[in-house]
Amino acid sequence: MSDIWPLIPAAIYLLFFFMLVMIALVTLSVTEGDLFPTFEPLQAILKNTEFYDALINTLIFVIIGTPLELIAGLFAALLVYNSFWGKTFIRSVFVIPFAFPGLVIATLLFILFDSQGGFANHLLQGQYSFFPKVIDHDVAWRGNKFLALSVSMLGKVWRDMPISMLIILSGLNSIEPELIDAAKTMGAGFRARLTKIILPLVFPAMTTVLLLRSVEMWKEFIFPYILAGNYPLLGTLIEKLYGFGSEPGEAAVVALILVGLTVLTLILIVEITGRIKRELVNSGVNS
Amino acid sequence: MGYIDKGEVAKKIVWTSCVIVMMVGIIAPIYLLLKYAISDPSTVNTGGRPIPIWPNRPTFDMFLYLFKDREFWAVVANSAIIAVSTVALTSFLSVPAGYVLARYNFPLKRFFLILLISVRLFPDISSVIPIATFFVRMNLHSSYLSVVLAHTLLALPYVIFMATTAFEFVPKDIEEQARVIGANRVTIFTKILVPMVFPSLVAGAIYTFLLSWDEFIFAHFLLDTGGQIQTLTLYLNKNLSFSPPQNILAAISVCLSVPVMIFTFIVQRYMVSGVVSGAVK
Amino acid sequence: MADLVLKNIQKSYGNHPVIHGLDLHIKSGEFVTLLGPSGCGKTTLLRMIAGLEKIDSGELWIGGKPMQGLPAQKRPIGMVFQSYALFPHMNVKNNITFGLKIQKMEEHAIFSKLDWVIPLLGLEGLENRLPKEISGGQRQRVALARALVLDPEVLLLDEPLSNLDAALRELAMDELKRIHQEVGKTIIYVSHNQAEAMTMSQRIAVLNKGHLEQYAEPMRLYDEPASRFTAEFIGSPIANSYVGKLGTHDGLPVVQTAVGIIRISDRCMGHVSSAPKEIRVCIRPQDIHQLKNQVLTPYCSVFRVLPSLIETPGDRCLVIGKTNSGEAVRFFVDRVHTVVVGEPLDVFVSAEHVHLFNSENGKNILGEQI
Repeated sequence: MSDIWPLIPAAIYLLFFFMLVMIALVTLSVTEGDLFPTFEPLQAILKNTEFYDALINTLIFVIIGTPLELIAGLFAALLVYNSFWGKTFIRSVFVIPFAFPGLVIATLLFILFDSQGGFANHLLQGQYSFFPKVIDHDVAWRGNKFLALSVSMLGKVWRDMPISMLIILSGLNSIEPELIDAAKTMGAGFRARLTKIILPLVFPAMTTVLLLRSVEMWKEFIFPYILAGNYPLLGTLIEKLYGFGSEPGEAAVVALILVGLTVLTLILIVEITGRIKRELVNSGVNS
Repeated sequence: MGYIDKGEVAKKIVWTSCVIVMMVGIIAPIYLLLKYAISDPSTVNTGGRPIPIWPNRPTFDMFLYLFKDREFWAVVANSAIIAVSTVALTSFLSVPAGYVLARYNFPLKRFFLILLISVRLFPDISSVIPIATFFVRMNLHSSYLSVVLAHTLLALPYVIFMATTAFEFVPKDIEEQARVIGANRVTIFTKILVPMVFPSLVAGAIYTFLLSWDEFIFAHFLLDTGGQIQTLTLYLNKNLSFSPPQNILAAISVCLSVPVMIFTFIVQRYMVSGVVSGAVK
Repeated sequence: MADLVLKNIQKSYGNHPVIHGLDLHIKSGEFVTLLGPSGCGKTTLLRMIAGLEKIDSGELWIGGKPMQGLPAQKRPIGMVFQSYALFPHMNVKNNITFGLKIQKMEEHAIFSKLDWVIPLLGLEGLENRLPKEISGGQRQRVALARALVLDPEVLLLDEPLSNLDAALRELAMDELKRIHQEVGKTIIYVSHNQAEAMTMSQRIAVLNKGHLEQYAEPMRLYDEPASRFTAEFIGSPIANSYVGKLGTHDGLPVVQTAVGIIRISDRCMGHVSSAPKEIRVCIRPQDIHQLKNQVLTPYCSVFRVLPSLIETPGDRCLVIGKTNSGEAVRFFVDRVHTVVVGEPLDVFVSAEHVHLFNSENGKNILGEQI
């Protein structure tokens, strides 16, 4: 026991802030000015239409964005895994987005998706010979909820794809090559090997990606903050309530709801993937 | 003579096209960022004509403008001071902790690991509210210290994982050998263990530096409340809201990205294993 | 007929050739072992037959059909891997039926296949277990069952017994022989273990550094090694090996070595008359006998050795002795008490057991043109 003293400073540090966050978050959420305890912040939030907007927006963001990150990461990982040449080089290029701060990518998209004569508008209007004409007039990318959130998600998925890819790639690399060979000698073509052997075996890695990415999606802040200022997600709503609104109590309520939803999602994913995994093992002749 | 397998050829074609599409999707935005950063005004404001793919007049004026600006240097200095202090504090806390986690089993180890994962997965946008409120009450907001403490909290779980993994690779024999020779524990730790895991510790330090350098949420909540201190991310955000010419925004973005890109390529190997082991554990 | 024919097969990795123009003809229903030390190219050859490795040049025919350019999944082969390569996420039954389901075989046909293969390999009661829940021997049998249900023309086995312990391995060898007799498939077995190969195979292809050294029945390999490599690789412990010169003694063919003058087979006479050349003489320890009161034929040569070390691995003792000239001689004796370290004794060898090889290319001189 006496040997573990070097751990103590880190343990105290983490425990202090974790307790602070948990206690203060709960306390703040039931404080309104000098009133304590009170459900006023909660009531205010439940009456706030912006909150429901943000909740639905974030839910859509999670439901679409999480699988999208998984698919993008899986696709990239499979390309690297099955590479005919330059495996290391391709992997290094695919990791590049990870090397850019989220804020920089958000700023870049802010520039490219300018509502008046931005690069994206010019491109889609067919002003360059290498790209077909898709739209006739400038599109106000930030003036439309669907477009603004889509561009935010595009940036988020682009920037975080490498993390998903690396996790799945490590799963792929841990598959014994002889398993693939065995499937070949048993008559399995590329598709059968992919769906019956490779994907079931990287399933744990895919679960990890889903868990990590769903957390990221719930708490997403920087992309919608820069690119979808008028269409809040829960993350941006927290910032708005705390800063602009000077309503730390209401911000804390939303923050707590966000934590709750995140935990709920994690439990849901663990439950669902667990079921799929059992199904995979048991699916047999009778299926 | 070789034999041509049609399926193989088709697969190669599909694969190559997919790789090319992905590469274009990754490289094109980065190219555009760099292009905007070296664009002259006529390339940015074309008055309805197509924005050129290559600047009409490539120029480093935007960078020169930034480099002559006192405020810009002050901001860079702030970011650097905060990042370096965060590295120092994080290393001080994480290296001994990683060693203990790698070497000993103790009753509360599970509890500590769960705490680590909880802190790591806790949404930063949720934890920032109580932490910012706390620092306001302590009269610490708008200070270097508040941001350093917050960034350390963000980096700590991950870096402890990295340090633990590194120490697990050092055979216990080496330590025991040193003890038999008569070295005391502090000597063993500083003269034998730390040098052996140095590359991983450097990787952890770089990770911490970058996390702090890029961080926006905590910096925004702790510093943007009327104080004097500004970091590079806050500076970029402030410029965004002023809607200056796009080439200036791009130039600031490049300045913000350069250290990240350099470091990421130096430590890619460690980052990869770190990301993965951190994720799996 | 599912004869397997390899014609002038070549393979290299980069600039490093691993198989040099190899020819092999395996008859339908035959049990053939590819035998050689690690790195001899035997596994590469097997993987090329399976279609898992590209053939650089040459021809591969199975059952009269060319296999070049066909991917593994389209070849009429089944394979058992050294690690068994059972799919960890599928139970035993699903592992076995995997290939059948790929072929979209009808459900009742799949069931009848299972009803045939599960008793054949004694896997009753394990159908719903996962690979990690069964023993090594059971895994090996599942891997075999998985290959057999596909009814391949050729069954390829890559050291399938090397992960089993000694006792289990003997059982598995008997099992494999029984299954071969029952299903009558052509089996190509890869091994580095000569005892395994000698026990099970009808013919053995001895490979060394990507060359085929000899392709023959086990006893022929033992009695008439075509090369010095085969002579030394087949049989244990390693054969006695000396430098010698061909000549005649009293008009009879002999070889002169440091051990003494050794009478050799009359068939070597033709070689003696050609220019005397330096050759390599190999004699198995099993072929050297202690001289007691046997009646010796004129083909026997006798020499005296001084025992310096006696090893007793089992029912026989291996004696390591030295001749007057200091050459080591290894041989077996029946009873330990007939030999005493330091007490010289006479041993003899019969001419047909003296194998002679060209010193330059290692080939048996009897196989060479005069």
